[in-house]
Amino acid sequence: MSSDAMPERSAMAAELALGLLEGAERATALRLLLSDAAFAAEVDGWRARLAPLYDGFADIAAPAGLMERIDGLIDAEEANDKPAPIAMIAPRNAASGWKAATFAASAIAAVLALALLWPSPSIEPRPATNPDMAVAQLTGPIDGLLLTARYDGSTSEMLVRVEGMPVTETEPELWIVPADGQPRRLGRLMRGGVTRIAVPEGHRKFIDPLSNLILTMEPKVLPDPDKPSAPAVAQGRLQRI
Amino acid sequence: MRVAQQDREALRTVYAMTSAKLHGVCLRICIDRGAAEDVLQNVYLKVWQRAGSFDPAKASAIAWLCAIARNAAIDWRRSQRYEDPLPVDLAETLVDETADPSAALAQDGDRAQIFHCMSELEPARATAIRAGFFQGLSYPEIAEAMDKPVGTVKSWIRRGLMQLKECLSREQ
Repeated sequence: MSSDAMPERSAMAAELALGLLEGAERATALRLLLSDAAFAAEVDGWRARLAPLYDGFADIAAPAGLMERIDGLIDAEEANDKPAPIAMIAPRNAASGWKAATFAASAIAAVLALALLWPSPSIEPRPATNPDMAVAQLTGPIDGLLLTARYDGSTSEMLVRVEGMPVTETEPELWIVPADGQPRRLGRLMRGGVTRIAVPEGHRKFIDPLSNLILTMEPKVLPDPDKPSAPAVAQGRLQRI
Repeated sequence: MRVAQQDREALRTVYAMTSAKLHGVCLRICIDRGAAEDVLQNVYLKVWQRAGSFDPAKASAIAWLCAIARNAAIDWRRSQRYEDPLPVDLAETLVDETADPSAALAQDGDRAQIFHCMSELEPARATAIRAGFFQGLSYPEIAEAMDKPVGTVKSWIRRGLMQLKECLSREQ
């Protein structure tokens, strides 16, 4: 056997990742992927190895109007999924089950958006669940204003990126609103770019998916550092990643 | 309602940031413009419906989305084969993918690495691997395009991938 021959199973993992397999071979590989953790790890390894090749695909502008078409299809699907309020007598828990399903269905879009806005320089393997990383995207009625926040529990720092902040006399102030509904001040943000906030020790326990981040526009001197003096102009829920 | 609106915004953000790349993937593999558009549309619907799970520990968001688009485009391509075989254009694959190291590539050593390792492969091996990755061709299609037996192409690709793996681990 020559030195560069690959064991059959490793070859199959690579071929599955590359998309070469068809028919019965592909079915066998997919079954292994589900049943054999070592094989699945090999496939993951190949996917990760080949992923940088995606840079070799040229960017080609998507057809005009496609996003509107996608929006329309989602609208239609959601209209179909909603229980009819009058004709159908659904038990309470069935209705809340639908809401929970919708919530889960769309959350991935937010996580992806954040991951795209905060690309990691490199993907390091790390434990599948990292309880100390949370992200949020804040939007509101101001057109184009978008804040993305990422909290890293290992440093207790929150990085907040501000885009599309209009010119105002007031200053952007970030707050965390946990389940009790009381805002706690996190700090003043720069009007653009990334602001680094050291989250005070007393507030770290509020970093959970029940909390929202809100942005208010405050006078240069905060009237009361313990509560906002203006309504929220952007808000977003924290999500664990 | 607010959450739903925010999530729609998030989907639009994802679309704005990725649709050109994913369209490039779909069009290269499907060749047919209409089919590429349909596949692209379904990719974002899948994202919305959360088909599959995104794990940031395993892949970057863009790589995850590209993989969904590429797999969907390959599925479409294979479903067409018996009705109306698509043209196989190896000349396109012979265009050197390394010739265009974009700014992103230059900044990211890991990314540039695989292009460097590809360039070290014997040309036939690299061509066969590129045909699989960039055009979504199967073994028989690559064999036909390169006018070689399937067994030969299989051996080229397997050996090429082995070398690629060694090269990537050596230079890490």
